[in-house]
Amino acid sequence: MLFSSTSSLEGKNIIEYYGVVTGESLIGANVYKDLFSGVRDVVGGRTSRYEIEIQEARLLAIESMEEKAHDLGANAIIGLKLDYSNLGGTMGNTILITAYGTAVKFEE
Amino acid sequence: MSFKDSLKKRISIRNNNPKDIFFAAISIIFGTVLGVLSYYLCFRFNLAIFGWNIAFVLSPLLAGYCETYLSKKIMDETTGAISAYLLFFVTVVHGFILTNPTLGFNGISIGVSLIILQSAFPLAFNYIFFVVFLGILSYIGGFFKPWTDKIYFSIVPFVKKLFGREFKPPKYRLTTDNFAQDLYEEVDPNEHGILFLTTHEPYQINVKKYLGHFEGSVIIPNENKLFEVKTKQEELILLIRFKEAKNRALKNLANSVKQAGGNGVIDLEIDYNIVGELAGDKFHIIAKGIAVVF
Repeated sequence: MLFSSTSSLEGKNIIEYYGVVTGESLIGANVYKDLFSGVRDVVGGRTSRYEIEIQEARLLAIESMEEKAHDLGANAIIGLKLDYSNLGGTMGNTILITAYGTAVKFEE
Repeated sequence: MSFKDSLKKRISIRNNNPKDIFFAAISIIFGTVLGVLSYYLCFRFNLAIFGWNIAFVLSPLLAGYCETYLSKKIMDETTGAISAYLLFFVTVVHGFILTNPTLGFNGISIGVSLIILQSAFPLAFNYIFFVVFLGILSYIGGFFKPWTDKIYFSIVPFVKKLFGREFKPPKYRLTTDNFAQDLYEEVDPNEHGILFLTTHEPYQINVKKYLGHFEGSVIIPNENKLFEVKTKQEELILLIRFKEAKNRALKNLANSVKQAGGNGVIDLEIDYNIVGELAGDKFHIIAKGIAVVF
């Protein structure tokens, strides 16, 4: 599966548009993680626990989107968008990661 | 880190000028001596209000003030009122321990010690108490929450049923029944007869007509309480609801586009926002794009 954030694939002929495909994942608030991220922020250093969590969640969202595109018969996703929404507020530090794009088939 | 090094850091010396260190030390000694002197005089003449010697408050303040005054005069910067901290120790050791030989190890003396520590080192103390201590406590509570929840949700409904009463789960807890259950959509967004494209220039398809900007939105009401610890199960419900709300928003968008005579949407965007906050979060999901006729 080819992923591209561009509107078209340069030099490739798109033969079919299948429509929008989406994938979502959520990172929940966790007091324990927050606590030690806070400590690491104070002493300096990368809050790697969150980085790993976000990477995993992003992968999950992309995989879920890819699966849908694959089911439709597509071999590429163009106009790919990745969004990170902090649900913040009374939800704590819940982050929603969304991946969406246009599933297409192009001549290989 | 030696005392000299910590002192250097404390007074933000940008170079290793020994003259500055000397002046800083003089200022701290000056403040400490005046503080101790005032402490002695207050006790000598028994300057007490309602049985409390004013030295406990006055001496640390005076020491810090005098130290800062002198350091500003001779160095043009402050040394951080270190003598005030030293005086805190002097007053605590003398006032609470030496002159109180009967002071026992009980709840009151522990409480007083904590208050004294909190006054002397507010930032460090508050961080340790509110963040580290309460954080660990919350984590332990959160760790056992799935088990306590399981016990609660298996025993309480059973007991209620025994007494012929209906069991209602707490309002703040997200369940599939109490959290936006009417959002479920069976139809895939691409089966509404509208071609959704996230791109803005579909090269291989000719756009015959542009109909303008359209959007479809959904609001998920939520009455969640503050500082609620989310369980994995609740997070899953939240994620499912978001997916359903997104499909509903796309359906609403598709319906408006169809009504306007369009059969496609280009430059599609899906946004997730929060409205409300303190009174309870409401999630606002918007699907927007340019309606076109292909």
